[in-house]
Amino acid sequence: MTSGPAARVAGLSLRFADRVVLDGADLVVERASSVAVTGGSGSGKSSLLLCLLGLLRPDAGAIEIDGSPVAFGRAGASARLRREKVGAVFQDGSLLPELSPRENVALAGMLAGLPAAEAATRAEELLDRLGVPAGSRSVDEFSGGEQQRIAVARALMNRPVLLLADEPTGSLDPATRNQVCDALFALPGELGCGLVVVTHDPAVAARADRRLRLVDGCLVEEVVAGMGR
Amino acid sequence: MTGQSSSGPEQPTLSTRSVGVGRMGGSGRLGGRDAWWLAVRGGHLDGLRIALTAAASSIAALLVLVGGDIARRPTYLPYLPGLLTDRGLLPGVLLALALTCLPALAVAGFATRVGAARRSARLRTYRLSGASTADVRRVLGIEGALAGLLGVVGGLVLYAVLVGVIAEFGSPAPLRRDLVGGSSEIVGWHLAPAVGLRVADLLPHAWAIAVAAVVVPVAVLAAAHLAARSVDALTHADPPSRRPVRLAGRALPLLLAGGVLAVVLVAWIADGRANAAGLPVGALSVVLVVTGLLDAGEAAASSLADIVAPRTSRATVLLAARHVQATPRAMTRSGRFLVIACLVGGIAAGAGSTTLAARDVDVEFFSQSYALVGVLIAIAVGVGALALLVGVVEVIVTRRRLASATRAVGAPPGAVGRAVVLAAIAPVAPAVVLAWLAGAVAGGSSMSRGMGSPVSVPWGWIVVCGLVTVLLLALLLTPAFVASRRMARVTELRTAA
Repeated sequence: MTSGPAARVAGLSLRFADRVVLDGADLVVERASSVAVTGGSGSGKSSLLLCLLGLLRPDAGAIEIDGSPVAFGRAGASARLRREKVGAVFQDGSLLPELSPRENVALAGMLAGLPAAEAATRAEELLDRLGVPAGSRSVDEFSGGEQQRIAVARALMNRPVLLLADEPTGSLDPATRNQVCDALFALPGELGCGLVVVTHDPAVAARADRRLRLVDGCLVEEVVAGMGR
Repeated sequence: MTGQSSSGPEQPTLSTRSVGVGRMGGSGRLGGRDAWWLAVRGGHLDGLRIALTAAASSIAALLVLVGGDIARRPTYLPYLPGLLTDRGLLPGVLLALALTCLPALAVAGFATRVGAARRSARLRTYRLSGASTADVRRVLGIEGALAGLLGVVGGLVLYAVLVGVIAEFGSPAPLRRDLVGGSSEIVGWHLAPAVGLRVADLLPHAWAIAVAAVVVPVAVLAAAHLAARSVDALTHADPPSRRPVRLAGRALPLLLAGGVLAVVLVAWIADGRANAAGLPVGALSVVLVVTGLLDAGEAAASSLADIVAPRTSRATVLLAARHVQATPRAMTRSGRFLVIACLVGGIAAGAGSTTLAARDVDVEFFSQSYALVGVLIAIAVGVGALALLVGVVEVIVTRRRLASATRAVGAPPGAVGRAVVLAAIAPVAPAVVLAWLAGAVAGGSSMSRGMGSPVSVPWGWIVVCGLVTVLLLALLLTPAFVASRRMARVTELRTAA
């Protein structure tokens, strides 16, 4: 782990056919801090996240995670970067239904080369910390909020430098949303990682240290008077 | 999530072209052009479904073309002419071709269900846009007919290749050795030149083409309509149960019965009392073995997965093991055709070997007969392997979003696909090898009664057949693995589940 920012995005440009999605977007995500990215539907928020994950190749610009450039087009290298330095949480959790919560979480560690026993122990610790029973029940039997917390635990399995969340509370009721947000936004302070949350929800965005809005493909700092963390 | 759509072709169609909505207005009936467009422009997934359906249809079409041709001009194809020109045997050959055609058509129907859940959602959109149930069926029908017609074209190509190969290299013929007294025995096989057949004669008889062009698309159309019953728009399909199923308790007695029966049969063979093992015992053993193989395969794979999953450090093995446990029947259901084809193949091999070992039989006639059966078995095994491929593709298609998400958390591309392919082969491969062996024992013991000869099981040949089948499976499942890599797409993550 280097001492620089968790992630640095410089001049990121992306277009789909004749539609400009990102137009020279810049972003620095410091360690132990959170950033919320908001914007209208189709403004490019998810595309930005997929670029950070190395899953979507931009037309121009560069991305560094923990000082290492994201190698677009090299599937193996970008997969390794995701395993070692990035954690991701999606709107629906995207958990594997046939695996138990512990196995879902441990899987990320096994993919990174951890022995099964060590991965299982760490998975149990993370689930315990996030208040989810490890058990052997199917993840389908857990509530939406619990599933999201399992997804957060999976994202934390390999002690990521950067944690990405794409509408992590999009399908949750307000009370559950707050529980998930409590867990999510506490992580940068506790683990020293950078957190980027893409959201439509102003209440979620308000919890972040910085709020950015995607406007015409550029990230613009959003200052909301009277709304702090 | 944002609702951007890149060039992702999987995202269906109404957003990119307002099709049919205006035309459906009063009558609720799609125009033919729009129905056609909806059937063929759904994206890669629909293309894959049409390709798999067409592949199975082309095998069925080939069998219809060969059957039609043989019926009209038995001497045209010089393959085993002594058999095909025998008027008494010709109906039997045609019946065998027809029977082999049925599983191919069944697999085509099976293939029309690939991506059923996603297609249901799309069809629901059509309905909400004003399409009637008849409109939806029309779209499905056009897709099925299109795949069937593509299959006929594929069948014609396969036929041309078959005739071309026979014209170029000849057809199998026995090598004889003269015996004292004027008789002869077959000592091997070689490729005899095809007399009178030209490479230019690559088209089957027009009558055969006409039959294939009608029978295959109509059969696929019917299969598509049957498949539509479960994917009809506005019909809620229950998600498959993901609870682990324990099968060992139920399968154990069957496995035991099969094992005891196998021991008894082997004992009969060993002590020369083979004649006592008649057709009823053979038939019963086949039924028990089929049931036992399928159930035991599921149970054994599920139990093995239960042992392996908590102990493995390999992510792919963990995924495969849990997948087998969660849906133990998924792959064995797809592999059923293959296991049955292998069992029938084993029966034919055992029966053939025992027949040829008997005294005073027309060796040439039976050699040719069993050689022809062997060709049909090979086709049936190919059809069975195709059925398994369809099943694997279906699993991969339904898990594409999870595959994408798994890739996003750092899994190498294709990790989920590898797991699905492993989960497909693990329960089916042992069942396939056992089916060949069990079939050979049952076929040999059954035939020994009628022929009055000791049971002769071609063990070496059977083992080779089993291994070749497993290799064929691995070869066929490679495209499924490649498809799984392609299906773990970024666009999946951009769409809310």
